[in-house]
Amino acid sequence: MTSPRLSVRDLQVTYTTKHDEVNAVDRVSFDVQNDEIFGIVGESGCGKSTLASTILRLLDDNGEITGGEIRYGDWDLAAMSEGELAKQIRGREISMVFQDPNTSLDPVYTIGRQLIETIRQHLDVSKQEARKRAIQSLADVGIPSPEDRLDDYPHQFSGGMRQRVVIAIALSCDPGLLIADEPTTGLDVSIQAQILDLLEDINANHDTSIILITHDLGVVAEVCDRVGVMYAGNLVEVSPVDVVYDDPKHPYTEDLLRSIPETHEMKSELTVIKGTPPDLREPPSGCRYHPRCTKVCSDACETGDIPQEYREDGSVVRCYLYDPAENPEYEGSAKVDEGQRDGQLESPERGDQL
Amino acid sequence: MTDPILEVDGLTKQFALNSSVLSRLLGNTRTLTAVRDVSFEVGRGETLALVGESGAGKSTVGNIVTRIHQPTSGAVRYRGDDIHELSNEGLREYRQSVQMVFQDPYSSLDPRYRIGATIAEPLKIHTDLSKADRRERVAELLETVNLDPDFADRYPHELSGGQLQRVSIATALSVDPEFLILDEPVSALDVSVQARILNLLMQLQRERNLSYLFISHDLGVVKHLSDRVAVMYLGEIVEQGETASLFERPAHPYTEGLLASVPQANPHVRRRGQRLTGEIPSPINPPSGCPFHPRCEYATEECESDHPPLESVFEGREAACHHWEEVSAFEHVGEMSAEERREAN
Amino acid sequence: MATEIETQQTTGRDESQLRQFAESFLENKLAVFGLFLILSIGVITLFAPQIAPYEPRTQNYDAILEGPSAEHLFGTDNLGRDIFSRVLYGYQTVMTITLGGVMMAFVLGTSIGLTAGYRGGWTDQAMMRAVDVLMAFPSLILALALISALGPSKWGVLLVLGVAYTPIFARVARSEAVSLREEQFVKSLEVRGASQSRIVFRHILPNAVGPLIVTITLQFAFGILTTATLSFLGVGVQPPDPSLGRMLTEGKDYLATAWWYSIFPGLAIMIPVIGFNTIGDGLRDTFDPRQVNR
Repeated sequence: MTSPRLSVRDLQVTYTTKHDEVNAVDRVSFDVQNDEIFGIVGESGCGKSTLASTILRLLDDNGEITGGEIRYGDWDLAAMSEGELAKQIRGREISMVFQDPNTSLDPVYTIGRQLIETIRQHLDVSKQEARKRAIQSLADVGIPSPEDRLDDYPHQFSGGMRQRVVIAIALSCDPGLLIADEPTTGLDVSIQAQILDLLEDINANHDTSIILITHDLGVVAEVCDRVGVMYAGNLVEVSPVDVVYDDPKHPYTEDLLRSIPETHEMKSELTVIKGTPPDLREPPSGCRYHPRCTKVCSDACETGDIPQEYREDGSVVRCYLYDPAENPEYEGSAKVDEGQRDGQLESPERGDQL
Repeated sequence: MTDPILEVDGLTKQFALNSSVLSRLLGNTRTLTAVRDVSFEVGRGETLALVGESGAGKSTVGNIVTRIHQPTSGAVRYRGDDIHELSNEGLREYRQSVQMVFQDPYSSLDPRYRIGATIAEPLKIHTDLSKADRRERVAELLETVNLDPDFADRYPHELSGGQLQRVSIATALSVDPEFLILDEPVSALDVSVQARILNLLMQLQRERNLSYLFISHDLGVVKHLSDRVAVMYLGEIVEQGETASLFERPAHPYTEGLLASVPQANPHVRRRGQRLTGEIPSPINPPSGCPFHPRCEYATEECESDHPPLESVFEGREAACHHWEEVSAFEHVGEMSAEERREAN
Repeated sequence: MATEIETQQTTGRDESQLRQFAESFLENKLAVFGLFLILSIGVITLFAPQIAPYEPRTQNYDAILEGPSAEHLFGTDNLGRDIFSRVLYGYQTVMTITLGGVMMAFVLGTSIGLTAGYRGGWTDQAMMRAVDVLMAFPSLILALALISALGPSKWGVLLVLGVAYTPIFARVARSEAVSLREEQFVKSLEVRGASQSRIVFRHILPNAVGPLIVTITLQFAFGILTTATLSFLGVGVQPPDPSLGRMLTEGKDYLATAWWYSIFPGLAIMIPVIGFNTIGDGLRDTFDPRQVNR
């Protein structure tokens, strides 16, 4: 097996506010394979956007990485200097597309200038060469007659086309990884479908892996190969997309899916998750989902330090349901897998806590 | 539907684009037709959904029904009376009987008012309850929307989006309305929060026989909540009918495309049918003939010149398409194999 | 039905808005310094009769143009009057005029601006064009024109400030009203049948209060300057009322021999202007939503 494109291990991000510390991302580990679309799904405040900006170290001033590593090739992005990061990684190896295409483009420059600037900043090419690349990028994202549109200003594009331009800029230096943070939120469904098709197309035709951050379970089902589900700063489950929908492993994933109208008879009462998401300044002990969980299986759910490493059907789950030591009814053969997960803590001494 | 509570008849709304005094005097204003000849009815206890993408005119329709905008032509009748020709007393009753819930819970409450004061405000306007009675009513209303009565003393910034949206609903319910206009009431909410609001809306409708005009772009929610659906495109209703049948067998290519574009929360299922290509044209310069023809795969020469009227095409369905037979004959729903899915992508 | 009632969470966010506001304001050291200056001057103004060692109008020909000393803290003027006492009473005059003028402008301007901004259309056009006409005159020229019509007096200056600053408040209030008018809570009030005055004065005004308070503080600074300027030019407060601007004019002739005569009144004008300006800037930062800590 070749090594993954991106490998995040035990990543921890803390925001410090005037009065509190908030653990917005709590010991998150996942891999993004070459040429896959990896979805990160969760509700607002779960930390998915923080996670996305952390990969490129674009955190707000009051946020910092307080643990873990982010491996990309030979680099550890969590430990790199800011200068190196700007020169080698941002826009070159890893680029990012944000939700609002209107604020991602500078309104006073033509899109051609913005594209060429990005290209020449990272690649040692002549102006003519950069221009050629810019035209190619625009063509790649499906903008008709790209030569002519190079000299247009952002306001001359429609919302959907503007998001394509943003994606073109992100792709202009052939990055190995594209992080798309809610790229279709706020767009109409027809435009959303077109942008999603474009992402799949980019993934298939370029050597670019994609991390797609979204709150929309439909979007995930449509384009992602594998999915990470986030809840309250934890990655509770990482599964192939079919597994997430057919046989979700973590109780939260299951509850989330059951609260969407599509899974119910018309006009019937929808299943709701009890309680409200926790305040991350004082997260619940043990599993952060346990106060809302319908499948609490052990006292350890409330107290234990649950590792994100139970394996089941190609999924990695952060839940004691898959631990024979905690869940007497467990019948599978999940085991904590140590070999591959370098940097991961050995399973903590759960027995001692009981 | 024997007894419509709301009838919208031939509604058209144009906005002037050059609104400078000079150009108005010279009479050379350009106009944007946001709503064109829209007619529908909502029955008692019924939910009619207005769906469509941005710029379809659905919110403008909502704004005319709430009298925020005046229509250019056409009429809105509530319990038989034209709402733009009401007496003062009639208008007061209308303001009480028809309430609205807006999309953005964070901006639909005055940030400087405590929750209790916000909910009590319509009571102040429309009733002469004493302060103590109002307080009691506020507590009841909070319980109706499943919130603790202590919330009355809080400020909006202390509440979550879902809680705020419930406060909006409580405010709307305070004066015992019969009709609610719900303008994207759950679009800004997370799915798990959305589920609770939808349950609440369905429960209130059952208990109080409320009628809803439900404006939304989210077809999943529309399918779950509404009895009938009217699909809008460029200011016109292009198709209208019973929800289940319309989702199963659309008769207008725009409906077909819209449904096919919605990502399904199930990797095995994908609607067959042509997804929408291109983007909505500018409403300042709408296409000739059928407004959808430039994006339509069924379009023929006829469509470029001839505007199809919205007419009954089969039992319980109206559509504005020359080729509805072809469209509705298509098999839309089905499970896709993994191969098929890859293929489709 | 098995729906649970949501109860409040103790999120720690339940501090009152006022307290959060105060905390944020107090972090701005410069603004706190300004507040200190203004409060001191406020106390001095209120208790001038008690603090002042001499009657400000009493002339003493035995002590003409005496320099600062223990007896006369700021020295005396050409008629032997105690400058310190005259400064204290001068504050009373200038503060009364400024307070009255700014409040008048606030009431008038805010009413005009909120109504124009909320109603829009024709009302807006008419009201704001009138405001533009007022604004087109530099306020000092406007003041001189008004004074020459009314005759120079304390109340004339007050009226001048009121008229000259009305457009400024009208502008600020209008821009707030225009953006608040689009807020959904205002729309929902309209849909619920709330009257226009209720919407404008009970909902839009409280939400526009931040920028208006900033404007009040800044206009206070300008008001003090304008009052002093008018007195300096001889068209403001008339003798024998003590006036800081007038003392400045009188003192300038003695600058070479009796510096204290004009320097102390000058400083006295400067201090509240600086104070109000720093408070204004501090408040602006505090009200600015971009600065709010999450």
